[in-house]
Amino acid sequence: MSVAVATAESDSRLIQRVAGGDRDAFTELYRRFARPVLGMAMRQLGDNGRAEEAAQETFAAVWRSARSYRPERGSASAWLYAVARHAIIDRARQRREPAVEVPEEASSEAGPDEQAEGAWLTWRVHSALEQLPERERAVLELAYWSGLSQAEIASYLDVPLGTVKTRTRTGLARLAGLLDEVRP
Amino acid sequence: MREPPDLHELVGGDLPPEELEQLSRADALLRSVPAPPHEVPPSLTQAVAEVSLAPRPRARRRLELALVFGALVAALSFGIGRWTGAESFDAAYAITMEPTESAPGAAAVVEVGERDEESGNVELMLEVSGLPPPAGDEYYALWLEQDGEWAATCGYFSVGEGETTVRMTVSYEFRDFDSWVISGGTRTDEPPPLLVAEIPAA
Repeated sequence: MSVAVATAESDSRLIQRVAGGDRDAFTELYRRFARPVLGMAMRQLGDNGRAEEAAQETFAAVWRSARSYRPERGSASAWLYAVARHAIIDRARQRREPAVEVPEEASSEAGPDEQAEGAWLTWRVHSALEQLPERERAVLELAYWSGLSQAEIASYLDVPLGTVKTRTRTGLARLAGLLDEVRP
Repeated sequence: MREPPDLHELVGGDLPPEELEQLSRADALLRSVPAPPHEVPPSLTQAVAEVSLAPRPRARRRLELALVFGALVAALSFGIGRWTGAESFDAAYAITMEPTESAPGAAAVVEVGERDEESGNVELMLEVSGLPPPAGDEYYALWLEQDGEWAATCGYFSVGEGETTVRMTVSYEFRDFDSWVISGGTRTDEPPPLLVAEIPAA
């Protein structure tokens, strides 16, 4: 089974439109990246309020400095990740408190380099999830992180078990396409 | 919390080898990362929506450039000779600096030019706003911080009302430093940082 990757406008093109003052593009960029930014901020700052402030600063910085993005120098996701990282570190400094170095679950004994790599991988996966159709994303999140069985997910979403499996399959295929060059 | 079931149970049925490899990769990626946040709070969405309604520094910059261009055309048409100060600046990348608690209304962007291969020099264009004009013998400075110390100055500057643009030339290797800092004060005191931006590790 093959699933075509959504033909949605690329992140890179969206940032270029934001650079031109396009609010609709900014809204779409926020929709795609709000959860990954917030998730990264929550893990590093360890506080919901401060994480929300850092996320807000991230998108304010994106709005202000989208013109500095150069597609030939790297992916849009990498650029946005760097902007978010700056905002989170600055938020930690403004409060004169060190950022909480919360290790990623997959690398609890990792050193700084591995932690940074883990943060980047998490960012990429979470960003890709945001680009899936809602019904596929919901099934994948429930399957991998809720602890619910497939039958329980079917009951929770009020759809047949076969539909849950189909959505899981198409969602995974689409995710693999979005993360083609990423390896765990 | 229970671990997710294995891939075959999740998707059911027999999978062709090619698809199995594809789905296995996505499955492994999802198992290797923590869960994303459940939801984005409406307060964040509201705050970010207001960001795009705020004036953009770019708009002011465009207006200034338009005025400079208009003045340049006017000057040339009146036969005024050599015109300086309106040279183009081709930025390789830009750093958005964030204000500290000492200057909450300030904003600054450092545009970094391409390094001149022959001389090793790099041009910087600093656009700063929201800082009060300095008094007396005070002025502002753009620093590069290394190991907690302001190790190298890129230049000293003053500001006017609104946005101020300052051009500087340096020869530092930026990867040797930890962050950019703008400070105020005099040469003899130890002023607080006003704007900062971390330099990502190479």
